[in-house]
Amino acid sequence: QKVTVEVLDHLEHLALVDFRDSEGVERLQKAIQFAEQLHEVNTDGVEPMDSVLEDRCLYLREDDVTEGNCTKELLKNAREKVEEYFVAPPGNIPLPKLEERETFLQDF
Amino acid sequence: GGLRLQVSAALREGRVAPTELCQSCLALIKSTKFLNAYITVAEESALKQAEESDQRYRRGQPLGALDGVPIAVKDNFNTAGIETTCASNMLKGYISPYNATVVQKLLDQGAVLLGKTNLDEFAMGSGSTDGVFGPVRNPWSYSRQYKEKSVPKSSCEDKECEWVIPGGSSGGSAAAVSSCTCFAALGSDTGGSTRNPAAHCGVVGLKPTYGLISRHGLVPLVNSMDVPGILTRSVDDAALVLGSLAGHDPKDSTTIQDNFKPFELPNLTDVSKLSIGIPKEYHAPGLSSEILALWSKAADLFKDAGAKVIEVSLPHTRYSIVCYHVLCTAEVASNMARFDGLEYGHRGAMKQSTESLYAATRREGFNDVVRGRILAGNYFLLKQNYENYFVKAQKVRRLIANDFLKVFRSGVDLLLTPTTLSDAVPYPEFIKEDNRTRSTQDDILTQAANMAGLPAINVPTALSERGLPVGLQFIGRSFQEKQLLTVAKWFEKQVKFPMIQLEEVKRHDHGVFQHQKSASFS
Repeated sequence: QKVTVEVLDHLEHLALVDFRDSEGVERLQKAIQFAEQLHEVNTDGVEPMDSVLEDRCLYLREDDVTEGNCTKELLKNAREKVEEYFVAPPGNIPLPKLEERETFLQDF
Repeated sequence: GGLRLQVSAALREGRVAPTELCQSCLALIKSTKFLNAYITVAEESALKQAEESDQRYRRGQPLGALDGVPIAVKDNFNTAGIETTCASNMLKGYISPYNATVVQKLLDQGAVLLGKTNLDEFAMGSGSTDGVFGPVRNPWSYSRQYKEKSVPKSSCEDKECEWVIPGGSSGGSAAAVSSCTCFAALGSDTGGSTRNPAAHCGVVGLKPTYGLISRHGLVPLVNSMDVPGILTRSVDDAALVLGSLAGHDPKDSTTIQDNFKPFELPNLTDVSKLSIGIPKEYHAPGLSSEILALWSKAADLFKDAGAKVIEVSLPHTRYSIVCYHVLCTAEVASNMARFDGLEYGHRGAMKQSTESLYAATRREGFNDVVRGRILAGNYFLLKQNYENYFVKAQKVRRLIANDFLKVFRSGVDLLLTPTTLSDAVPYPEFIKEDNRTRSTQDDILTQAANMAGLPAINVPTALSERGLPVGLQFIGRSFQEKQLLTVAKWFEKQVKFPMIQLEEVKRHDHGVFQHQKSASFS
């Protein structure tokens, strides 16, 4: 059961990484195939496990400000900034559709 | 009494000064550069820390057993002012603005941070071969023990002889400890990444119980399984380092709030009250006959000493790696989303939209392995797949954790298993298979402990026929590190694993680099 081009395209949109080449797609196919083995296990009546520490209470500290004021430090690692802002290109513009963008999936 | 590394005694007695020790280690790092164990050597800051330690010793006020002791840290832990790359183009040039809690704790004890060690990119891998700074070489490749056993190639250029992998993903840390360039190193362990290289490099590799040691500042791979790992040359050393790292951290809400008391390991003489479980499913396909024999010999060792040794079953063992595969890729897909080029790390050149910027950044910054896991993880998290893969895996996870619970409830104190399927393979052979296949094969014996959050330790046991280290693994009950390490120490004493005979180490040794051991188990 092969993954369709639509799903592959959808994944590239969600993950914002590309498959790059047929090897990348093969890799995903193999990963899915490998995961199929899970269906051999009978999990009727079994609750999913989120954390091995599920029987304990998560630690919550007091909602007091104890540190911060490190704007300068944090901005040091950003490539593009203006005053105290990280600079980003315009948002709310989706990636071009499959036919219009440079992706290996075009020839898939 | 008091907790001590052998080197601590030397420092305290004034036989060697922290600056001397630091300089020796730095010199050894330089002369073992071919191992590629270090990504960054923090020479200046290390010497400064060593000088401050000198002064404390002169005043007779060392901070503790770790004061002045050179250590190394895997390059996926944040270290203030020092580049943290995770061996990825995504973080090249990223200078951490803070110390990971575990790093801070070591520095607060006066430890000297020599540098950041090499790993598989973002800790994904089992060979330390998939990072952007190149592969790490197992120091044992250059040991007399290995060279004596290997058939020399006709035209073998000195360091280019067929070297073997150190295991991964904390291969750099394991190699650093194994080659004596530091006395302890931090690794991380999500599927076996501390124990696997420990086994291949002949060092002690401890995976603590999930929730015992803070993950704050450790670049996350799988939030529900990651733990900082400890690599040392002896079990006592591991206990010492554990003592300085364990305990609740308000900055990591997944650390338990129980009070942790550092402990010194007793010298166990009577194991007759011990019950050791031998899980039959760990006789996995592909397990070398050599390791099988060693495992059996170890079981007999306990039996002959009066312990109860019984075969047990962990029926869902073979699904552990599949389960891991799904949960890991899913969590990775989430954790890697933070790398978009805006706040830190590599930034692509696209300016049309944030999405195209993120896509370009991630296209350029991640290697195939990372990208592959992100895409797979996203697939398993798709609405149409969520129940069938992600939730299903979470259910299987519970079954795996329950397997262990049942066994421990039946009276078994510890489990004894092999750590790896074979001794270290040569690099050209290792890279013939792709990363996921390799990880699948190599993590099979270590992965379940991460699934269940249990503590586990690799203890170097013997040399293989090829002259390379082989280790065995003990898995303990949750938060019972003292029992785990006590038994591990007893075992370590019985097997007397040999010291590595490395030319470079002999040249730089002050007599403090290695413990005195002779004879061997095999």
